[in-house]
Amino acid sequence: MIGGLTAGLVQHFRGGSFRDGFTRGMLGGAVAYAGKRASAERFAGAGVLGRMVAAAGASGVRNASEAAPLFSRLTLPVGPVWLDVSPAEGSITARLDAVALGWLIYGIAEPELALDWGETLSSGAPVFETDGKLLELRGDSVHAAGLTNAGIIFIADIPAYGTNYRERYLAHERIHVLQEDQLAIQWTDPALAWAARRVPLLREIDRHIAYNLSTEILRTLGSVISRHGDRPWELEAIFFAR
Amino acid sequence: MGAGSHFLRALTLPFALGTCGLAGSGCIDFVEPDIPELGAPATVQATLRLTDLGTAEVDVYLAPGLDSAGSQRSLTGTPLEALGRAHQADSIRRNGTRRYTKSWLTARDIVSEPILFRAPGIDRVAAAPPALEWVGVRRLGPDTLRLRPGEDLYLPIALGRGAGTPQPAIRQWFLRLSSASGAAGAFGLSADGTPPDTIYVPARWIPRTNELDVRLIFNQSSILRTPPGDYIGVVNVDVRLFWTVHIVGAAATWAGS
Repeated sequence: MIGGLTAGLVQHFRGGSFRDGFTRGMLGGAVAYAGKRASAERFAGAGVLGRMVAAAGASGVRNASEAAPLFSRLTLPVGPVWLDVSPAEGSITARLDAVALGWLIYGIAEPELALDWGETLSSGAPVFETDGKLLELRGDSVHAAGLTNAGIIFIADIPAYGTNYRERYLAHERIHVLQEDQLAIQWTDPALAWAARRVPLLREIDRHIAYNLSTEILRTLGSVISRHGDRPWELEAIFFAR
Repeated sequence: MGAGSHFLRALTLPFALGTCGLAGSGCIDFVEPDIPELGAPATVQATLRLTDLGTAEVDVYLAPGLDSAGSQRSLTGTPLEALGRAHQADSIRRNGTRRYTKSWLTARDIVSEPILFRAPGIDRVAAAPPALEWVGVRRLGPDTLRLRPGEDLYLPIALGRGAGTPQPAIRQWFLRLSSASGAAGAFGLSADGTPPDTIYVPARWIPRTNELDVRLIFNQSSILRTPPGDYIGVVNVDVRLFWTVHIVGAAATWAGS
């Protein structure tokens, strides 16, 4: 529904058809849903499979917004790199997600964190884990077992919580990764591209650099919806990872 | 690529913005989890019941718990020993807690033997497994007595064999006399400590009935905690003796009184 409304409204304001945008946006949203469904599964590789499918779905929503063929351009996040794939043209270009890169460097540099290669490959996103400690985003009072910032996952490795709980909150964070991809691909990236077309320097940057601002958006929304359990993105992650 | 000459310039700004963004939004704090049982002692709760009818019951709940790193403690392989037998757990839950529920019949005079208990060994626990050797109580004389109305009741008993180590924190005994039919009510008495060699019940406290069921319960319990105190045992032992007392000529006597 969000995909349909996004594509319908954007296409309408760009002078196109709300109906066309809505219909194809819904289709893209359905693909993204399937990606989330897959990502929440517990088998090895579920995360990377789900992320690619969901990113294709989110790309479809963006393409529908631009009245372009549904899968004419796919934006596929691979770690801190976004691959823009145009199947019809047979071209692939890469952009560096500066925000994700920042969090990746932070994860590597922070002595409390260690990169879990196995989970990283399985999740399709870098996964850093603590050694027996919970996470607290500075300025927040919530002690979390997992955090996701710009597609980088940070989880608390606490053996006392048991493996089942660890799998659940890892699946929960993978859903957040997909949500952030969706936000970035459907909303913030097109908005930044729109701005870049009007500012020459930004245009140059936009060719090489992407900004996944979704974490900041969700954090801002989170300050409005104070209760963790009332936040729609948390409810969705809880639903999928249950 | 035409953009090549601008690439470094293009990178400078996002790095600066990214760094500022991270600095502004703050990073992550790492907090020790507040897990109540983290590093807490392993615990074992045991109830042992035995009777002079030859029944023995063991009901043990073992919680190995978590070590200070949060890892579940495992067992060393030294089994639970109780009432002369080694026992394996009947159920093991995901959190590592184990339940031992056993009961059996034996031809041995189990109430007069030393009552032995030793908890299973647990890894990453410094204290020795809680263990004890307590004494039971046994009946002297027959289990069926004959008594005339108006006669006092004497029940000769003796403590069983055993070292009594460590000394139980609580020792109590209870005697209950009840009519076999339940019609004449019941009488009971109890005291702290071990029961006397002979339990004396004056005739006026004996329920007026043809047949009495008499039951002696000797209960001992303790909390066992050896240094450094990371393995705690709570043990309760219940020994029961039974008599049947026939009141000879009771019907005529009670009818005339």
